[in-house]
Amino acid sequence: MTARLHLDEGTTSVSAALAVHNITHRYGPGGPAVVNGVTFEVARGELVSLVGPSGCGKTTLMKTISGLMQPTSGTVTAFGRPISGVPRELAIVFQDYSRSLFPWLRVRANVSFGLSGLGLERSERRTRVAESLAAVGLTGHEHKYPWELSGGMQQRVAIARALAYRPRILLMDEPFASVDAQTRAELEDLTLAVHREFGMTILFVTHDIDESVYLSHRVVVLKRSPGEVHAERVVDLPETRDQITTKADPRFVAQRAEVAGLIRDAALGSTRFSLHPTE
Amino acid sequence: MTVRHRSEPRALVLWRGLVGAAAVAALYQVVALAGIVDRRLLPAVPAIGREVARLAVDPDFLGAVGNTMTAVALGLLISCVAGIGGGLGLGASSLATRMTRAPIDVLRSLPSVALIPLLLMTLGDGVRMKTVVVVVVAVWPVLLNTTYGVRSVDGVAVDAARSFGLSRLRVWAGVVVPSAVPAALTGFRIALPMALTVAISSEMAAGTPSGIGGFILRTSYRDFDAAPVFAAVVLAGLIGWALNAAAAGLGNRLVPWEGRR
Amino acid sequence: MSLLRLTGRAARALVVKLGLVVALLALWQVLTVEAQNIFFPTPADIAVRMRELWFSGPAAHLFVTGGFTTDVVPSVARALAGWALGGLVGIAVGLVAGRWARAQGYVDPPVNFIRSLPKPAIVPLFLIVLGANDRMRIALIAFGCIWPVLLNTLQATRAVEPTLRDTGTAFGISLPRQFAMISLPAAAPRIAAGLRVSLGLALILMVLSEWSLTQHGLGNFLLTSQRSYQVLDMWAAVAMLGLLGYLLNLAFLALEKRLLAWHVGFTGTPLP
Repeated sequence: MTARLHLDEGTTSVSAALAVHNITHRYGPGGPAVVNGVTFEVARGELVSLVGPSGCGKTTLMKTISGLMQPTSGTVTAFGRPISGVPRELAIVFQDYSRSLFPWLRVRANVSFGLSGLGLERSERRTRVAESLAAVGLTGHEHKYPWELSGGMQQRVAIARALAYRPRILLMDEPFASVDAQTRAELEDLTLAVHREFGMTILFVTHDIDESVYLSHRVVVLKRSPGEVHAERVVDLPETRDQITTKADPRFVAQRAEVAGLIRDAALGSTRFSLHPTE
Repeated sequence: MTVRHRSEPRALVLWRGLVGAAAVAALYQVVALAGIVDRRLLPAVPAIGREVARLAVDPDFLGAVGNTMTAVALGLLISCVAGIGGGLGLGASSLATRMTRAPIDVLRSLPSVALIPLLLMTLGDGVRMKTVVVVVVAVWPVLLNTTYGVRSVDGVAVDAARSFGLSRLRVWAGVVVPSAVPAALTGFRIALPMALTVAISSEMAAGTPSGIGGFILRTSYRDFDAAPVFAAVVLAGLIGWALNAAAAGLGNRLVPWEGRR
Repeated sequence: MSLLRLTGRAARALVVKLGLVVALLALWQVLTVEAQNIFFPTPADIAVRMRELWFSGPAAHLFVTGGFTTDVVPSVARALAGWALGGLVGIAVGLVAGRWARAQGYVDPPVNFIRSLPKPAIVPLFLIVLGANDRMRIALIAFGCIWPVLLNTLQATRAVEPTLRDTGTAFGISLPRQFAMISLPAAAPRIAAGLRVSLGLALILMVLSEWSLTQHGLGNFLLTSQRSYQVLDMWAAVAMLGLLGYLLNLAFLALEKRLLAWHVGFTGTPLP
C-alpha cells in the first residue's frame, strides 16, 4: 500500500500538526492546577511520546488536547486552527479497550462505528473497515464480539477503529498499559507499522520509558503536581526500529537512561521547585 | 451503580429534592389552572397542602394508616420468613432451584388483584385479606433474591471453610447464610414499596371502608371536594417514599459493601 | 443405545422442569376433591370451565370462542398498548434525564415519590379527566408502567461507561445519535429489567381499570362473576390471568435473551 500524502491547506503559516499552548487545567474555580502551563508542539508526521510519573495529569492533558475537555486556560491548535470539541482530523485510542469498545457490536460494527457520522457510502465504509482490519492483522475476525477476543486483539480493534476514521492526528492514551509484555511489544511494532503506512501524526502517552524511547522521534517528559513540561529530548535512533537490535543499541540504552533520570528528577523536583503553591 | 458523593451535605441533597418536587407541583398547578378540567376536580396545590397538613394529624386518617400498615407489616413478616426460609432451602440444591422454577414463575405472574374477589368471599374484607394479597406479591422478590444470593456464594470461600475441617452445617451457617444476607435484603427492599401499594390497591379494589384505600374511597364518594382525596394520595405516596428511604438506609448500614440496585 | 440415553436425558430434564407443576396440580386436585368446599373447585373443573368459556370455538376461529374475543382480546390489547406507551415514555425521559449527572438530585426524589403513589388511587382521577373509555384505561396502564422503566433507565444511563461516551464524542457522533447508538444499547439490560416489572404491573392495572364501567375484558368478567357468585368462573378468570401473565413474561424473556445475548457474553453474568 502506498503511504498517504496529506496536502495541507495553509501549510505556509503553520508547520505543526498539533500545537499545545500554555494549557492549564483546574478542577473547580480556584482549585489546585492539575496541569499547569503545558506547551509543546508535534510536527506533521512526527511521533511524539508524552511520558511522566503517575499523577502528572496525563489523562487530563490528553482529554484537553483531544477536545473532550475544555482547559481552564490556554489553547490547542490542530493544523493552525484552534480546537473546540474534538476536531474531525483527530482520532483517539483509549487506554482501556474493554471500556472503549462497544460490547453489543461485533468487530466489524465497532470498527465502522466512527464512520457513521461521516456520511460515507456503504461500499466506502466496507472498504475502509476491511483495510483497517487488515492493517492490524485482524482479517477474519469481523463477526466476533470484542469480548470474545484477547486483550491485545481488542486493542487492535480499537486501533483499527481509529484507522478507519482516517485521522491526520492519532492520540494514543496509554494504549498498551493493560496487556502483557509480549503483546505490548507486538502492538508497539504495529504502531510503528501503522505510522509508516498511514503517515499520520501520532501523540503517544505512556508511563513506560522504554516504550517512549523505542517508539518516538521525540519524548516530552512531564512532572507532577502540577503537571508541567519538565524536559524535551529528540530521540537519536534510526527510523527503522526493532525490538531486539534497537533495544540493544547503546544509543537506545543511553537515551533510555537519560529519560529515566529526567523522570526521577521530575518526581523529586515537584516539591522542591513548586513555584505555584495552592492559593 | 449510582455514584453519590458521600461528602455532599444533607442540606444540599434535601434542597435539590425540594426543588425537584416544587417543579412537579408547579407543573401540576399549571395543568390545574389551565382549566382543561373542572377546577373542583383538580384542586390547587395550596388547597392540597392545607389538606395534607390537616390529614397528617387527623385521627380518622391516622387510624386508616394504622390499619393498612398492620396488613403491610404482617404481610412483609410472613413474606420474609417464608421467602428467606424457602430461599435458603432452594438455594442449597441446584435441583430444587430448577424444579421449582416453573411453578414459581407461574404463580409469580398471576396479577395479584385478580385474587381479590376470591379472597373477599373466603376471608372477608379485613386485615386478613389484605395480608394475603401483600404476601402473594411480596414473597417472590425475597424468595428469588435469597435463592440467588445462596447460589452465588463464593465457591472459594466455601472450599476454604471446608478445608479447615468445618462440617457442612457449620459452613452453611457460617459462610453461606451470611453471604446471602445482602441479596435477601435487596429482595426485601424491592418488596417493601410493592407491599404498601398493593395493600392500598386491595382496599380500593375490594371497596372496603378500612385502611388508606378505604379512606380515599369514602372521601371521594362523600362530597365533590377532591382536595382531601389528593391529600390522602400524596400522604400515601410520602409514606411509601419514607419506607423506601428507610429500607435503603437500613441496607447501606447492614451491608455497606453491597452496590445499590 | 445413545438414542435411548438421549431420550432418557430429555425425559429427565422434562421431569425436573415440569415434575413439580404436575405434582402440585395433582395435590390440588386431591385436596379440593376431599374438601368439597364450594369456594375451592377442583383444577380439573376449572380447566373444563376455561375450555367452555374460551377455547371451545370452531377450528376456523382457531378454536377460540366469542367469549375469548370479548373477554381476553380487549384486555391483552389494553395491557400491551399501555405497557408499550408507558415504556416508551419511560425510556425516552430516562435516557435524556439520565444523561445529565447534575439532574439526579432534582429528578430522583419526585420520581421515587410518584412511583410510591398507590396507582388505584389515581383511577378515579383518570376516570374523571378522561372518562370511562379505553383511552382512560390505556392512559392509566401507561402511567403506572412509566415509573419502573424510567427509574431503571435513569440509573442505567448514569452508569454508562464514560469512555463509551467519550468514544462517541471523539468520533464526532451527534448527541441525538449518541442516545440511540450508545446510551440505549448500553442501558438496555437494565431497561429490559424495568420493562419486565412493568409488564406485570400492566396486567394488574388492566384488571383494575376494567373493574368499573366496561362490558368487556377479564377484569370485568371477574367482577361480574363475583357479583353473581359464579365461583367457578372466578377461578377460571384467575387461571386465565395467570396463564396470560406467564405467557407474556415468557415471550418477553425470549425476546430479551435474543436481543441481549451480548450482555451475558460480555459480563459473564445473567441479565439483571
